[in-house]
Amino acid sequence: MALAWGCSELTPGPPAVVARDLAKVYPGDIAGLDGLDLEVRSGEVLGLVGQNGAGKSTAIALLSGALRPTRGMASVLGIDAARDPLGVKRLVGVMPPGGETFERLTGSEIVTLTGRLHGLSIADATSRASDLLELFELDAEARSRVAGGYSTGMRRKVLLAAALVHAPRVLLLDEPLAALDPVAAAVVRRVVRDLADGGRAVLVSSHALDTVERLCDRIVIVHHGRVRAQGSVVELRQLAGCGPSDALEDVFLKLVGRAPPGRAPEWLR
Amino acid sequence: MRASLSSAAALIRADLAAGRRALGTGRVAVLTSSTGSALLVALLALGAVALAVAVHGLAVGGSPDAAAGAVDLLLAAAFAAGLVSPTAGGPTTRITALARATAAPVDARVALIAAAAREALAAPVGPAIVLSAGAACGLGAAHGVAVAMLALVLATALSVVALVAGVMFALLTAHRRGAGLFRTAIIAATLVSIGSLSRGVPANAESGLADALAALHRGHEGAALLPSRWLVAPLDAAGLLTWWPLVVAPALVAWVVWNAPGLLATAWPPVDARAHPGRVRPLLRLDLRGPLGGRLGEWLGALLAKDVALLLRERGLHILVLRHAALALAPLAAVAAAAWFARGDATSAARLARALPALALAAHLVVVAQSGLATRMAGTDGGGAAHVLSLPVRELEFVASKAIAWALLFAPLLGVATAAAVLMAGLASGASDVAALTVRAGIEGVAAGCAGTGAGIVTATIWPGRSTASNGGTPSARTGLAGLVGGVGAAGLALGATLPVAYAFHGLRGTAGVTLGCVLGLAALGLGIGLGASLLRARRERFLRALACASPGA
Repeated sequence: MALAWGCSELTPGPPAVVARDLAKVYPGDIAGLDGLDLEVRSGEVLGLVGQNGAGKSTAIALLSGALRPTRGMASVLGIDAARDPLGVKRLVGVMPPGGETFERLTGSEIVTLTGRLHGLSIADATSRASDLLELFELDAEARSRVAGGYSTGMRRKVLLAAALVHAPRVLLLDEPLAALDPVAAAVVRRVVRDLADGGRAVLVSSHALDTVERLCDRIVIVHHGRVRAQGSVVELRQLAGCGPSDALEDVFLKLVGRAPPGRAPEWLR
Repeated sequence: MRASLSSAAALIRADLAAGRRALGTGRVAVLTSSTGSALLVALLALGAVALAVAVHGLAVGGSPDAAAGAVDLLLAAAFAAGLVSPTAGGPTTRITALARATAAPVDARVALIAAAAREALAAPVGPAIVLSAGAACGLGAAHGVAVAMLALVLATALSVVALVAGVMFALLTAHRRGAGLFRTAIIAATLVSIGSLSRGVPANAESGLADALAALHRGHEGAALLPSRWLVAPLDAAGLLTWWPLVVAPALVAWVVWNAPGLLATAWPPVDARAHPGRVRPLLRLDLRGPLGGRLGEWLGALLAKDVALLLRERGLHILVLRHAALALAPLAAVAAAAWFARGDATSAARLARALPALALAAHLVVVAQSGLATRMAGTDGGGAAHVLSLPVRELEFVASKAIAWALLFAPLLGVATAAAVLMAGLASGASDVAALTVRAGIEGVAAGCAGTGAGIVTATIWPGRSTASNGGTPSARTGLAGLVGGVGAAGLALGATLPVAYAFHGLRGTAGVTLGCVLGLAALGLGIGLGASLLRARRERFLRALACASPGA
C-alpha cells in the first residue's frame, strides 16, 4: 500500500543529522555517550550498531531533543537540538525503545493524537492514522482497543505509525524491528527504504546485524559511547580484514575487539 | 516421585500466579504467597482489635480521651506500616503487607477524619474510629463501641475469607466476569450475614455520644444506619465487573437496611478497583484551532481533549477519586443528615449547621490532598507521559492540560457536594438565607478544588509515580513509598493553597470574601501550573527516569 501523503521527493542537501563530540553523563557519573561524531545524509539509511549500553538509545534521545547533552552538539536540518528541542521535535519522527505509550488510549487515538500535536487537522491525523495502522496490519478490532492490552509487537507498530504520521523529514528509529512478526518486519523494511529513496534521512539503531546489513546504506559501530568504525558493509569488512563471505557479526566482533563467543558449558551440551 | 511433587508444586505456583493476575489484587498475591503468614496476620489483626476493645474498656471509667488517642494511634500505625510495605519479599514484608490489607477498613484517613469530627462535634468519649461518619457514624452512635469493634472483627475475618475464597475461585476460572460476579456475591453475603448477626446485639444508644450523633439517633428512631464505606462498596463492586453492580449493590444495602433496622456493620471485603482494557468510547474531537488560533488551539484541542476524555472514561480513576472523596466528605454528609433528622429540634439543628463550615474545610483539605495522587502524570498516561515529552509539546502545555482537565471535572464535584450539605443543614435549621449560604458554599468548593488541583499538579510533577488505578490497584513498594511521600507532600501543599481560600470565605463577609476566595483559588491553580511546568523543565530527566523511560546506559 502506497502512502500518497508521505512520498514527496526531497532535494538532497547537506547532512540532515549531525552529531559532533556528543556526550552525555547521567547522574551518578554514568557515561551514556562519550564524544560521538556522526552524520546522516538525506536519502540514506544509517545503521547505529553496538552492544547493550553502548549509547545507541542515548544518541537518539539527544538527537531528538528529548535529552540535553553534557557536551558537544547535535543538530537536525540545521537546528540545534539542545537550544531548540521543540523545533527539532517538529521535524523528526522518533520511535522510542521499548513499548511505553499511552496505556489508556487506543492505537488509532495514539497515532491521531501524535499527528495533532504535530499540527495536523483532526481529519488529516485520523485518515493518516488509519492508513498507517492498516499498512502495519493492525486490524480494526485491535485499533479500537486500548494499548494497555496490546502485545509488545502491537505497541511497536503503533509507535512506528506515530513516528511516521506527520511525514517527517528525518526519522530516528530505535530498534524498529524488535518484537515485530516477519510480515510486519518486511513492511517496515520496505517503508524505510521508500522513505530514504524519497530523500528522507533515516537513523536506525539496532542489535540485529542481519537487519542492519539488509536495510542500511552505511553503518556506524558504537562502542563505549564512541564511534569505533563506520562505512558501508563492504568498507567495514575491509577495515576488519574479513572476506566478502564473512558474516557481519564476525566483522562487528573484530572491530570491537571481542573474541568469538565461547562454547556453552559442558553440562548444557 | 519427588520430581513429580516438585513439578506439581511448580504448576500450582504457576496457577496461583495466574489466579493473582486474574484477580489483579496485590492483597491476593500476598495471601497466596504464604498461607501461613496470612493466617498469622489474621490472628494478629484479631488480637489488635481485641486489644483496642480492651483499652477502651479500661478507659470507660478512667481517661477516655487517652484511650481514644491510643486506638487512633494503633490504627494509624497499622496503616502506616502497611503503606510502606512491599508485596514481594520475605515473610515479614508479606505479613506487613497483609496487615495493610486487613487494616483497610480502618485506615489512617478514617482515623484522621474521625479525630477531626470528634473535635468538631465535641464528642466526650469513644475511640475516634467509632465517631467517623464512614466507619461508625451509624454503628458507634447507635450501639456503642463494643458493636463497632465486633464489626471490625467481622470485617477482618470476612475480608480474609473473601480473599481466600477469591483465590480458590480464581484457580477454577480465569474468566473475569465470573470472578467479578463471585466477588459481588461475597459482598452481598457479607452484608446479609452482618445484618443477621446484628439482631443479637443489644442496643446501647446515646451512651457517651457526641451531641450530633445522639441527635441523629433521637431524630430517627429505629434508624437503619448505613454501614461503613456504604458509598465505596458499590463503587468497588462496579470496578470489579461492569456498572451493573452499581445498581445492584445499593439495592442490597437497601434490602439489608430494611431487614435489619438499627444496625449495619463495618465489614467489607477489601476489594480493589480494577480498570479493564477493552473497547472504549471514542475520544472527544476537540478542534480549537479555529476559535483560539494557532499554537494555543493546537495543544488545547489535542492534549486537553485527551486528558478530559481519559478522566471521563477511566473507571479505575473514577472509583479511586470517589472512594477518597466519599471518605472525606462523609462527615459533612453525616452532619448534614443529622441536622436534617433533628429538624424538629431547632436548637440541635442549628448547632449542627454551625459545625458544617469547620467540617467542610477539613473535608476540602482531605479531598484536595488526594488530587495530588490522582493527578499523577503517569496515572492516566502510563508510559505515554514520556511519549508526549518526545513530541513537540512544551512542559507548560503538558502540565496545564492535565491541571485544567482535572480542575474542570473535580472542582465542580467538590462544589456540588459542599453546597448540597449546606443546603440540607440550612433547610433543617430554618436559616433565612439558605440560598445564599448554599451558593457561597458551592463557590467555595469550586475555589478549593482549583487551589487543591494547583497543589496536586506540583506534587504530581515531583513524584510522577503511577497511581494504583493504573496498575490494577496492585500496591507495590514503589507506589507505597511514593504514595506516602507524595501524599504527605500533596497534603502539605494543599493546606498552604487552600487555607487562604478558606480564610477569604470564612473570614470576610459579603461578596468581597467570595471574590477574593475565587481569585485566590484560580491564582493557586495558575501558580501550580507555572511551578509544575518549571519543575518539570528542571527535572525532566529525573521525571523520565522515574517513568523508567530514560535509563542510564540505554
